[in-house]
Parts: sequence; structure tokens; C-alpha cells
Amino acid sequence: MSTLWLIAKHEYKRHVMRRAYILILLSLPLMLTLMIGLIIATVNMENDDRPLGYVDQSGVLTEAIPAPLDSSLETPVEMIAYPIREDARAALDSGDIQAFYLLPDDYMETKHVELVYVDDIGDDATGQFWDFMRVNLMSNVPQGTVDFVTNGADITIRTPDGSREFSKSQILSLILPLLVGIGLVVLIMTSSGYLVGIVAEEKENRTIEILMTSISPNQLVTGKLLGIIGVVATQVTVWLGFLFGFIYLAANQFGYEWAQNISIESNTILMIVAVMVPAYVMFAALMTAIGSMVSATQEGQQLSGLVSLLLWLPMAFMGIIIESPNSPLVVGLSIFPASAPIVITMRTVFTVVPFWQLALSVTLLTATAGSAVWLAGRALRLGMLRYGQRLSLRELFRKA
Amino acid sequence: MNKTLAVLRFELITIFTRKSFLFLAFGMPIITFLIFQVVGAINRNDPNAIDDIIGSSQGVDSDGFVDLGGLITTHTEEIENGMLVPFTDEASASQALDAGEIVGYYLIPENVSESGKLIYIRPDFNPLALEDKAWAIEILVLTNLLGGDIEMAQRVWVPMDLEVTLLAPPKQQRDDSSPITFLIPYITTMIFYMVILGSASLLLNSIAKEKQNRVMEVLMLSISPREMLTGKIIGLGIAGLTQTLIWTSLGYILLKLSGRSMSLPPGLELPVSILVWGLVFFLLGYAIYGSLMAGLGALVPNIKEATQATIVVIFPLIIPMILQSALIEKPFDPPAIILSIFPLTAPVAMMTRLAGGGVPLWQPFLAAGLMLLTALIVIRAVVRLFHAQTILSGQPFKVGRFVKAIVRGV
Repeated sequence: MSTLWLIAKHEYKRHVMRRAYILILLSLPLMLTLMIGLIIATVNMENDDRPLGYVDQSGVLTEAIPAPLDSSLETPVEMIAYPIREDARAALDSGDIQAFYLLPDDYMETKHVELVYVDDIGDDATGQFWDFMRVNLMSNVPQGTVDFVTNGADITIRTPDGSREFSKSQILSLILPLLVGIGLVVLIMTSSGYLVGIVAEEKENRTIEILMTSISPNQLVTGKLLGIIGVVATQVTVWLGFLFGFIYLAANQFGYEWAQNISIESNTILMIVAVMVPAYVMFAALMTAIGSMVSATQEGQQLSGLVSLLLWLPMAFMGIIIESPNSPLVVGLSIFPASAPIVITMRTVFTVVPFWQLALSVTLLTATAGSAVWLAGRALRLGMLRYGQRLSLRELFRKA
Repeated sequence: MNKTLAVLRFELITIFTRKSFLFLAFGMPIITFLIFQVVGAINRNDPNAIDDIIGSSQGVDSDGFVDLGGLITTHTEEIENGMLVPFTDEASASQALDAGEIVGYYLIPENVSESGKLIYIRPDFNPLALEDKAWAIEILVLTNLLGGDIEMAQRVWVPMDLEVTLLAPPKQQRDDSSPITFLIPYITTMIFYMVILGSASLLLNSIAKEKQNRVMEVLMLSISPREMLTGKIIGLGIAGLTQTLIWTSLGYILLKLSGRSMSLPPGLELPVSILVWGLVFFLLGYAIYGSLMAGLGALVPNIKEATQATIVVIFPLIIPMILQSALIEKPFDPPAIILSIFPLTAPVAMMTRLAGGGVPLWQPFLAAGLMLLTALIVIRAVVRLFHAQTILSGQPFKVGRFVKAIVRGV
């Protein structure tokens, strides 16, 4: 037992006490910040906050009321009235306004409006003028009705038995399973690096020959696996810490609605655990098997790339999964073990996955995971002291 | 010179006989072509076959609604054409749902005029289902909130019929409605990114590999670092170009064979100049990134670290990829112009803009000139880096050391 502990501790320290590991820990929050920054930059590039002008000959906007903004993130675009077209044109030419609208005197009969601009108008400016028109067309209508038009109806989607419910403000709870799915795939990929190299490094520098004199292969691998699980657990804890910190900041410091209404049903958590645990075991065992079969670290990495590819493959079908989450192709993908973890979590977001599909998928995943563990143990025993030559698949499956 | 040629020949033979290269060059386009052919054939025989596999087969698309507060007195067009079906109570709506007459139903609560809240009951719970049909119930509720004034409701819903007058100079006008306007710059960006990065990575791998298996130590006895670098850069550049040529010509031949022509819509033609610019920007981009990668290869001890360190070098090339949509939609804004002139982002960003058309001639010339200057400086620095001491040392890769070595070389 003490040897096992010793190996686990050594393996854990070997990975965690590296500068690269700190980089990996920080990579997720950094990537998140970078992505949010880039999205804000792109949105800003596409927006234009310069004022809009209008020339109203119909009298609809004589006593103009400003429209409320759709969200707190929007910058208000000022609406400036001009008495005649020439004035507005002069302001446009001098760059004071980005465009102007012209409402002719027969607007109320024809709805005809002319828009004059030089360069593309920002999307938010167009939307704000649209709302501005709507608000002023409803100047003597109750406020509730005006809000209904400018904000759109607040529609809650619910299943007939009431077990699942979704409205716009709960977007985070809805996509949470998907985030967990992607997070776990990333985790499998990062730990696969350690798993493939599980004995390859010891084999490369021949330490394994000495190790074998004092411990059994099973002890070695169990100890190493425990160490690697520790490394991965540390990583998950730190990432979750960042994620909760991020959500906490968004909810309490910036007051975003989507961050405040988070509720996850216990069924969803159960589903995630039921799918993800066998999925992780399956991939970890496969990676270990690869690591034990090959003779050099580099060779193992090339092979493990193929396995990771399998894991990411469902991303190619993302469009179909979102549009028709119950089509035969998608159901097939959510039952096939290699694609199941991602596809099942993605489908949970967009539909109710029938129980039989979930059960079948978990059963198949567990069975595959069991076989993969058996395969890994066998590969390890056969390939442990083999050098220069890769263990072939035929040898691996031949009767012992 | 002879030795450079020998290196060049060796690199070309190694690459062209490698299975993975042959697969990438010939296999990929052929497989893509076959997939398209199979899909096309299935589609011709039974136009619904593909839909049956990937789409959910749903004949009905009507929704029901239950008016809990007695608001709905005026019926809109959507009820008349069957898009919305009224029900007197929830039980009958639920029955119709079970019978498959409707896909879901709305509950309109009593206080909808204040809260604006509606409930939509749907068994398959698809949050995106409402995207393109929520308007029907919204306009029905709005009409009745406005006391049944259909005309007013429609005016408020769509307040204007726009007539657009664009005062911009004609060269900047594009046909925004055609998907080709966006597709061509998009494809050009992807191709340039892949080809430049692909051939630059070949260079990195080739050097790091020889360093790792110590062939380098033997090579250094008979050849100077400069000769080796020149041979490798030219050889792998030719390989990259060949791959692009194979892809383009195979793509063209296969399209011809399948009886489809590469007809672009009228009004949008790809001028010959873009091919010339393409060649110029590929060569210059490859010279810059290839030599930077070669420098990286000289500094890393093995392939594993080489792959990890690549991100340091290719980062500038990724920026135009991320900002791609902004580059395509606003190709004449300052950020797009800066990205397409800055030498490290120019090979991808400028090609994206050129494919969209309308770029003033001085900009690609300036970008090419700046890139040429950068390429000369980088190559000079990397050649200096390529002395025996660095190549043969086994030190781990550090970003600081890489930057210092390049700067010192300049």
C-alpha cells in the first residue's frame, strides 16, 4: 500500500510542480477573458453610436418620445430632428450623423420611409430607430402594451408534465449541460497526454526495468492512475473556482440577469454523472492501452490524436443536432459510445432525451469502458518490457 | 550550391513519397468528391431520403392557444390560415397535442397586458422552436391588446417600408444579398491560413526531427547551416505550392467530370490579378512564417516541445481568422486596413479583402513591400541563429530565449 501511495505522490508532484501546469491552469480563464474581449471588440467594430437624423413631414414624430433600450449593454443613439431634407443631408455630409430617415407626408397611408446613408449603419442604431418609431406610433396606448411590442413577449417554454422549463433569463441553466460536456472533453484530452505517457517515459529511459524488480505492474499502473486523477482533480477544482467566481461577479457586481437565475434539475446532474463517468473511464483506459503498446512517447501522441478526433467528431454535426435533435442520425450518434458524451449533453439542451435512449447509451458506454479497461491491462502486461517494436493489434487480441 | 540542391532534392523526395502527404493531397479531394456524389445520387433518386435521416419528420406545424383571460376577441390572418388553432380550455388543447394535430400550444394568462408573459407547452422542449414562429402569437396578442385594431397592430409591428438611398462611391458597393460575396473571401482566408501554416509546420517538423534523432550532428559535419536552411525552405515551399496546385486542379477536374461547371454568378468575377496577388502573398507569407518556424525548430530539443511552442509563432496568423467576419463585412474600416498591412497578419487578412474586391491598389503594394522587408529581416536573423551551437544544444524551449535570439540575429 505504501508503495502505491509513493508512486501516486511521485506522479502527482511530477506533473503539478511544472511551470507548464500553471499555464494549463490559467489557460481556461485566460481563454474566456480573451474570447469575451474579442466578442466585445467585434460587436463594437460592427456598431456605430453616432446620432441618427430624421425629417418628419407626416407629424408622427412631432412630439417625439425616446424609446427604452433593449439591454443595459446598448449605447443609446441620439435621434436628431431636421426640418428639411437639405439640412439633414448637410449634417450627413459633415459626418455629424451616420444616416437619416425621411418620413413623407403620406407616411400614415403608405408606411413608406426613405433611408439615406453613406456607409453601412450600425445594427444597434437601426434597431433603436425601429423602436423609436414604434413607441411614437403608440403614444396613447397603455405602457404594458408598449413594453410588449418593444421587448417582445416573454415566452416560457415548458414540457406538458412541467418537468422542464425555460425562459430567456435562464439561458445559463439551459446550456450548462453543454458546457459540462465540453469541459469534460477538454479534461479527457488534457489527461490523455499524461495517460499516453504513463509508462512510455519509464520505458524510454529504461527505469521500468528497475521498477519491475520491486513492484508489480498492477501497483505501478494503479499508483500512476491515482496520481493522474489527482492532477486532473486539481485542475477541475481550480477551473470550477474560476467559473463560479466569474458567475458570482457577473451576478453581484454587474447584475446580469442570466447569472442570477441559475437552477439545475437533479435529473440533469444525474444524467451528466451517468454519462460522463463511464465515458472518462473508457477514454482513459484506451489512452493507457495506447501508451503501453507503443515504444516511444511521440508515437503514442500521434495515435492518441486519432482517439481525440473521435471525441470531437460530433462537433461537425452540431448544425443537425441543434436543428433536429430527434432525427435518426442524431439518435444514432447519441447511442454510439465514442460520440455519446458530447451528443447526449448537446441534445439535453435542445430536447427531452427519451429514457430508453439514455439507458441504452449509458449501458453501451459502461460495457465499452469495461472492455477498454480489460484491454488496457492486457496491453500493459504484454507491452511492458518490449522495446523498439510496437505491440501489434493481432498480438493484443490473440488468446493468452 | 550543390549541397543546397541535395537538401532540396532530399526534402522533396521524402515529402512526396510520404503516405500522409499523398493522402492529404489526393485522398482528401477525392473523398470529399465521392461524399458529394453519393449525397447527390441519393438526393436525385429520392429527394426526401437525406431529410429523413438528418431531419425530424414533422408534417404538422400548427400551434394551439388557450385564452385564459378572455383577451382574444379579434382573430388575425394566422388563425384563418391554420397556423394558430384556438382552444377553449387546456384539456382540449392537450388532447389535440396527443392526437398530433398540433406541435404545441400557448397559454395566454389573464395579466398578459401588464406582464407580457406567455407560456408555450411543447413535448420535445426545443428552445429554438420558437425562433421563427413566435411572431404569430405575438401579433395576435398585440392586435387584441390594441382593442382589435388590425391595421394599427400591423403598423406598429412593422413601422416602415424602407426605400434605401446609398450615397457611397460605387467601388465600395457590394451585392450583400449574394452568399458568394461572403463565401469567396471566407474560403480564401481558410485556404491561405491552411497552406501557409501547413508548409511552415513541415519545415518545423523536419528540423526538429533531425535534431531529435541526432542526424543533425552528422549533417553539420559536411554542410553549412545556411545551405541546409535554404534547401529546406525552398524544398518545403515547393511541396506546399504543389499541394495547393493539386487541390485546385483536382477540384476543377472533378467538378468538370461531374458535369457541374464552376460558374460564378454574373457580376462577380475573380480577376487574374487575384491569382498573381495570391502567389505573391503566399510566397512572402511562407518566407516569414517558414523562417520563423525554422528558427523555432533550431531552438527546441524535440518534436514534442516544437508542437507546443508553435502557438508563439502562429498567433498573429490566427488573429485575422478570429476577426474574419468583421474583415469580410467591413473591409474598408481602419481595423481591417491595419490588419491587412501589418506584415504578420497581412498574408491572410489582405487576401480576404482582395477576394472581396474594391481594395485601392496602393494597399496590397504597401503590404507586399512591408512583408518583403520583414521576410528579409527574419531570414537574416534565423540564418544567424542556425549556427552549430544552437542547433546541437538540448536546452528546453523558452519564449524569452526565442525572441532574444531573433532580435540578436537582426
